[in-house]
Amino acid sequence: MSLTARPVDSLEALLSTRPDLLEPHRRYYARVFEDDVAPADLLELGRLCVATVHGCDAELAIRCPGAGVSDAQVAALPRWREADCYTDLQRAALALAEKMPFRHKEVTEEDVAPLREALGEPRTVGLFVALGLFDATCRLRLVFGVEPRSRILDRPAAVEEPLP
Amino acid sequence: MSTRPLASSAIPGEAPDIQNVLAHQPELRDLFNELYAIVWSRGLVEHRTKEISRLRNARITGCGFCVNVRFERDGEKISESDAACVVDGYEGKGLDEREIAGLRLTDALIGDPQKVDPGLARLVCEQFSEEEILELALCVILGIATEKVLITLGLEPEPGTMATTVLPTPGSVATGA
Repeated sequence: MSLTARPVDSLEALLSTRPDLLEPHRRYYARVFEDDVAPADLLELGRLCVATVHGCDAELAIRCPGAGVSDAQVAALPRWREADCYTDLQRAALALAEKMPFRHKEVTEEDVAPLREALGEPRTVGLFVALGLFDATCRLRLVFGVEPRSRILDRPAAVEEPLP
Repeated sequence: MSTRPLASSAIPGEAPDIQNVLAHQPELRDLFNELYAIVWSRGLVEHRTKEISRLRNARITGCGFCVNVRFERDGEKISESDAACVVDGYEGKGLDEREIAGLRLTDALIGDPQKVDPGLARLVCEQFSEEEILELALCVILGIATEKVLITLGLEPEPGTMATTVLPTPGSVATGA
């Protein structure tokens, strides 16, 4: 017994019985990955960091090589603080992403300042919004038991593409 | 935790709040508002059940803004005695079986999320259709996403400073949608 009557291996499949919700969700989720929201490498590292904290295999199975994140950087995510393969800006984004699932009350000015200085206010806000959505998406995938399916994509979501 | 804003308003001269901070990303904000409005005002699940779940989420996630907000729709809003029911042990607080099932689904989403066990799935599926379950789940996770932004950017009020505030339900006629 599960929450859906059929196995699902994507958000597209999960939400397929509610096209009225799927379409606007796809538009919103796809917009998160535009460059004016936040740099692609920070979004990709943030998405995978949040998924690592949650242990969300369905999210981790989605990879976007074009985001500018190396395989070594992905592999090092569970111990990113000890790794030397990230830039200072990427480390600032990871510090924030790591707190988003369960330690959101612990975010301080020290977390935000380096992001604001490097990205400016609009893209810093964009990164926060994206990380909040990544946390929410992992929760949805986990509770509904979305099955992991390896996907190599240009980006994690696009308006014209099914939601992975 | 900070209740000092960590982001500025995009509108000069205004104190930062969730809407004017998100105005730094107007297209993203508008797409979220469009989706949230549909979930709240064009859905299948009754307003009261979604509002109870939203308040449970606000309480557990710890959003000092959302926990003080009441969404009103067509003159209907949750009573304060019902709003007080969303504490732990809500099963014995007079809520009906559908509302309790909705709260159990909410708890699964807002805690340390795992695939729901067959017992909880059965309980939820006895009270809601699959289409309703998806709507309620989206309502909850979009609330989580918003609360995380509010909290992490220090846009909550100082504890004890915000009175209960009635707002029009997203997407309702009162919002001009």
